[in-house]
Amino acid sequence: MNTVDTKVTLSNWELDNPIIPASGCFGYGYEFMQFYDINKLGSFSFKGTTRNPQKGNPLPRVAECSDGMINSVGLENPGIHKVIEEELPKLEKVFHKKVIANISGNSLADFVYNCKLIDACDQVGIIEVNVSCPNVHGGKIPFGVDSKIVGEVTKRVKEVTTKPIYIKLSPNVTNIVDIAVSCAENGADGIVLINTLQGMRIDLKTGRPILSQTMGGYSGPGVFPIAERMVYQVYENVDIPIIGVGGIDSAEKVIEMMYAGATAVEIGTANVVDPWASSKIVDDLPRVMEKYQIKSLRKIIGGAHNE
Amino acid sequence: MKIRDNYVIKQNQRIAKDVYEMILVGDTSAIQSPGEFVNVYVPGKFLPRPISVAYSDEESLCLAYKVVGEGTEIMSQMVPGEVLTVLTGLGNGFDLDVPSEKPVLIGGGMGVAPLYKLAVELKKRKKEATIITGFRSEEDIIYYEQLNQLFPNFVTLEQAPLKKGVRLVTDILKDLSESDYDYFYACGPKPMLKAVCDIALTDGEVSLESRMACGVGQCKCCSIETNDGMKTLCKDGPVLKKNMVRW
Repeated sequence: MNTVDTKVTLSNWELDNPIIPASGCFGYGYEFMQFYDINKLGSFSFKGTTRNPQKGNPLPRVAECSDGMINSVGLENPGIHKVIEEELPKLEKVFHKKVIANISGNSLADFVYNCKLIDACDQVGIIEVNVSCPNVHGGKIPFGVDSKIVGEVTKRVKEVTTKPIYIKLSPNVTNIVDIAVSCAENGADGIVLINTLQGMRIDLKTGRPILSQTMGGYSGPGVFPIAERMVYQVYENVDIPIIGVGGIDSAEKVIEMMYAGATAVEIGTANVVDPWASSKIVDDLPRVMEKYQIKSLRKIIGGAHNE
Repeated sequence: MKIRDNYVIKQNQRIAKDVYEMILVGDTSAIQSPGEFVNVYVPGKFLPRPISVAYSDEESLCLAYKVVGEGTEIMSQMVPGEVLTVLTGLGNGFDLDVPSEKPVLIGGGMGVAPLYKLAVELKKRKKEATIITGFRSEEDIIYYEQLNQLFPNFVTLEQAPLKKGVRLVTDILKDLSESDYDYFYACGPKPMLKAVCDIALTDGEVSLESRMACGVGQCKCCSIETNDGMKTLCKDGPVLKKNMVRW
């Protein structure tokens, strides 16, 4: 019998546990039923979805690092209409919880359009807005690097939605706190951080970049300390829940991230290395809680800030 | 079904220049067809190495791999008795159900490895196959004897022509007529595969490769555009039908 309480609450939505596979590493969820029953998860965030189908970038899209990987997949996805018409019905047959909808856009109008459509889906519990994508009307500079623009995106999507809006932030900025505060001031219900860090690798055999796009997003255990630091900083400056993501691959790191200020966590790259990774973390969480004499996960959120 | 388990190294020996053959003992029940691959979790490396299965039976699987970087270098130094974590049953292998009685198997370099298991399966099904294999030089040849015992195996060498004018596998393929084969299976470097598809007189299928990550079609790190939409080489491939591939 479990004597520990793993439940957490995100914007009035109670999750059985804080474990949420991250967008881009878990498809539309149902594909993982071949590995384990995904209903054991708190929830999951589906593949980043854009207004129109996207083919993504040419190969190579992946380069290895000593403690992670760099990807330049380029948001390959079937587009929001196909997701709503085909992917969500497939998911509904096997997943009996609400899902987090990861929404991307290349313009403000795209964000508004996509969020409005996905807001009407009963299966969606939270809309996660990915502002790391390039703004085609803003010199292709990512939305997420400017606190005013992020605030504007937040405000506009809040106007057309009823579900909680969580903004997923890019760490490739000078001051993450300013951006998170701007989200909160403009009505965001939560913050997800961090997305991948920009990085690159060069192939010594050719002297040329490995990735077709030269640069990509670095993820994996190597980014964990940076993610934790950003969660810690943002927690001190906003009152909305934070989902911590970045290099988490164990129940110990889940707990650490929660002490820093996360209410829940997302597991990304760990699923790429081992399809069972998120399932193993769910299984392991009660044992690690007992080891550190944690009876309720809710009670440790932000605990590292206590005097 | 996919199985991620620990496998014991039974043998790990050099079989050609920079090429090693590793025999692993463990659960092989997830391996369905020739042309599939496995993800090898090399100690100390973050991402698994996708390596095609050269041969497998009820209790062991055999991987042929070329030392091309740090990961395969580490693998080459492992010794019998050591344990490796491997994710098995990955990818879409060669189609053995096509209506073909005398297929031709075409392999280039390391692309010859998965043809070994394919040839064994074709022999079991009493097919009359022809094999064409090409290598850079004599020291690169793999599985010559094994393949030659099953079917006629024509070998070409880029650097040391066996006979005048014959350097590439496609030079031999060109000499075959429609009565010589009714289907083809090919695995090797991309330019070779494209040339085979251009020259071949029949339908067929090719095994492609790329840098990969998850091995189960989820991270989209190995997606390519085909005539049937976007496909991941690790799940929908590595073997694709000739008419699906956009070169």
